[in-house]
Order: sequence, then structure tokens, then C-alpha cells
Amino acid sequence: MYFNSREITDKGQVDWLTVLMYVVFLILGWLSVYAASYDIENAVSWFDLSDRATMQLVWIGTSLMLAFALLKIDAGFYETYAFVFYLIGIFLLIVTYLVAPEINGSRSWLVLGPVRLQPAEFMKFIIALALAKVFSLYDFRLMQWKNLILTLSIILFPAFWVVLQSETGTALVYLSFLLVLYREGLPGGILFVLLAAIVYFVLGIKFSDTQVGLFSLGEFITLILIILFTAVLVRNYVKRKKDVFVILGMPASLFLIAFVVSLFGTTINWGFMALVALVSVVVYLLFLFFLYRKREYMYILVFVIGSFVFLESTEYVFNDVLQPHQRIRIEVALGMKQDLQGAGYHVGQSKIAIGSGGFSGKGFLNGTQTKLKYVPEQDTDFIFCTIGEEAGFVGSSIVLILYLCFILRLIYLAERQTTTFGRVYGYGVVSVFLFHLMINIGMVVGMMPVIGIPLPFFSYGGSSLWGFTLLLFIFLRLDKSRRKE
Amino acid sequence: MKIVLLFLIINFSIYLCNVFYIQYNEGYLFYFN
Repeated sequence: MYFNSREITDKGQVDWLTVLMYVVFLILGWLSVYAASYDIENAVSWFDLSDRATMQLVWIGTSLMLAFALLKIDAGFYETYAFVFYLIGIFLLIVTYLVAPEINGSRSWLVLGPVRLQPAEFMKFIIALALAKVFSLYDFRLMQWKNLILTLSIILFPAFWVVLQSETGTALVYLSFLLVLYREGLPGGILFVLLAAIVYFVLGIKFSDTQVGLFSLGEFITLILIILFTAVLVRNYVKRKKDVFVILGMPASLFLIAFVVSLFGTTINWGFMALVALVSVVVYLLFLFFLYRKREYMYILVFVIGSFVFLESTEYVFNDVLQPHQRIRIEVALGMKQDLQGAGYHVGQSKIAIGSGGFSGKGFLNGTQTKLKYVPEQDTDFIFCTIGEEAGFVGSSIVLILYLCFILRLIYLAERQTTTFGRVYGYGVVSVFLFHLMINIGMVVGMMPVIGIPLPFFSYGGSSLWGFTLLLFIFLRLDKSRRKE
Repeated sequence: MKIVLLFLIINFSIYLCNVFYIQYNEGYLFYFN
């Protein structure tokens, strides 16, 4: 009997559960776009292409066709041409930067007659493919310098061009691919350092107004935090309990002595004390390094000093590198400024809209806050407001839980891949979706600064819907032809 | 793997609580409709 391996591999089923969730998202998304763009006063006639809901229907239709086509293409195609896609993608990004007209302050739209495309959206699946291809090269090990630099430049090079197009939000989405690197062997320590940097930044900015002696309150808290993090790192990487004890004990006794002295009426410069505590930790680490010659101590030392330098530079970065609108968005998200008329307007209105929904919502098409256009961008980036207002807590919960199931399903699919290519691509898909959800819903409910990225499958827009469809269905195609064990 | 699941579930719960908090804070939850 004629029998080859392709026949075996292609007998797999498409993961219908994911497809079902995709279709449910499309339906709910279209209803939301319809509700958000519904004009109470002059409702347009049914099937008018100038109407955004009808236009979205066209995008959905084409996306479904695209999805079908993607499932028909041979799985090997994506792996073979991954780098070709990448080159085309980079080329399009550069061309877009050079020729694109300025629309809403960004130069990311490629205008081709009646159609406007945003190549940055398509770059997401292209980067995921390129990463997957690199990881599946023969004898690839992430933690070699050459490979690490190659991997990072695959992510950062397009991000650079996207930043030039003033689409900082999309560039941040590319950074979510760092999660993929973590799954493929990037040490957790590096992720910890990145997380620590975010914490320092937030603390340093949020409490920058109150002074504690030499430093601001934010810097003071961060200095203490650096000492705690150092103790955690020493505990995890050197595993000598005595060191942990000394690293925590020295600053603690220093502060205790200072506190006792302050009881006798001496004013203590607490900021200076924190600095002394940190310096004592540094000196102790240096001492340990020269005593035991262990590389771990050096790494931790670099972490401590790097943390301090980073902390001291946050204020400069915040005031001089970030643009004014980005600065104010961060201040609004951290609750330092309200500015309901200006930068806080989006979030203020979106919170009122969600809040007015109540437990079960006002009902489909009955949302007054969104209908009367109080919320800006309500059918694109702020579409979650419409759900919050018209479907209430129940509706928002259902959507959130659906998304959670979707992400968990994707992780399950990624884990069951039998090839490195499939697994890396799968995790790329997971990270992109997760990042979009976290940032988008976070900004709508005021937990995150306003970063203009769409809610997958819900937000109005052809490029983003096509981009997500490509991302998802290429993965489903790879999953379909995975080898059965 | 367990850490990832835990992270996801905690994260989504925070978001859910936040939606709930906004609706509670605006004072409409439970007695608006």
C-alpha cells in the first residue's frame, strides 16, 4: 500500500474548539462595533459601506476567507518562507515610514487606493514565524551570545521602525515576544530584572514629590526594595543562608540604630541612611566575591549597581526622553493627575461608561454614555467600554473568562506541538494575544497608561482583524499537521 | 507551567475585580437597573 509520512501528518484535525471561540469572538465583536458606532439620531440604511458596522462585516467576511485559505496551505510553506516573509515585512515597514501620509499623528498606514493597510499589524505573525524558524535551526541554543543577539535583533529591528512611525504601542507588542524566549530557555533572572526595572520606574515616578532626606520617597522605597531583591537573588543563586542574613541584617540594624538615635531628638537623614545601607551591601558583596571568587556574586553586584543607576536615571528618562503626551498618560494611570478635561478624559469617560453599566448592563444599544459619543475611540481601542456599559458586569466577566479560556487553550496547543517551530510560534501567538488583552482592558479600566492597541477580534479595523486571523490560523494549521505520538 | 497558570488566573481575576470595583464605585451596581 502506498504510504508516506505526509499522509499521516495531514490526518490531524483542526482544533475546532479554538475555531469556535474565534467565531464567537467575531460575533460578539461585531455586535459591539455595531453598538458602539450606532448613531441614534441618523441611523443609516442597512448595508451602507460608509457605516462602520457594515464595513466591519466586510472585514469579518474577508477574514473568514483568509482563515479558510490559511488552513488549506501546506504547513511546510510557513516554515520554508519564514525569512522571506520577514524580509518583505521589514521592507514594507521601511517603505511605509518613507511614503506614508500622517494620519492621526502616526505614519503607519500604507494607502493603496481605497484600502489602507498597517504593515506593523502584520509584522506580529511575521516576527513569530521568524523567531520559530531561528529556534528550529540545527543545534540552536539561545544562551550563546551570537544566537541571543540574532534573536533580539529579529524582535528589536522591526520595533525600531515601528517607533519611527509613531506607533509606540505596537512596538511594545513586539517586546512581548520576550515571553517566548523565557519558554525557550532565557533564564528567569533576566525576566526578574526587567520586572524589577518596571517596579523601580513606577515607584520612582509615583512617589517623586515627597522628600525623605537625600532622596525622594519613591527613591527611598526603591533603595529598600533593591536590598530586598538582592537578598532574594543571593538566596536563589548562591544558596548561602548566612549571606542572606547579613544582607538583610546590616541595613536593619543600621535603621534600628538610627531610629534609637532619633528618639533622643537628633534629626536623621533617612535617605542618606538608605544609601549607606545599600553601599554596605555592595561592599559586603564585593568582599564575598573576592573571598569565594564565585561569578554569581559579581552578577548580583552588577544588578545592585545597575538598579541604582537605573533608579537615578528614571527621572531624566521620564522628563526628557518620553514625549509630553506619554508622560501625562503615565501620570494619569498612576493616579498622580486626574486631568479629566485633557489626557485623563479618555479613561475618565470610559470608567463612567463601564460604571454606569451596573450588574447586568443597560441592554443592547441602550448605552447612553457610548451612544452619545462621550467615550473617544469607542469602537476601536475603547470598545471594552461598550461591553461594560451595555452588558454590565455579567457581560464583561463573560468576555474576560472567554479570553482566559482562549489563552489557556492556546498554551495547551503550543505545549502539545511536536516541533520546536510549532511550539515557538505557538508561544509567540500566546504572548501577542495576552499582551493585547492585558494592555487594552487595563487601559480601559484605568490600570494601565493609555497605549493605543486594539482588543483582539473586537476592535473595529481591517488590518488588526486580518493580523490576528493570520496569527491564529497559521498556528492552527501548524497544529493540524503536527506528528502524532 | 503551574506558575504560568497561576499568573494568568490571578491576573484575570485582578481585571475582573477592577471592572467590579469601577461599577461598584460609580454607585450603580445592583440598584441601577
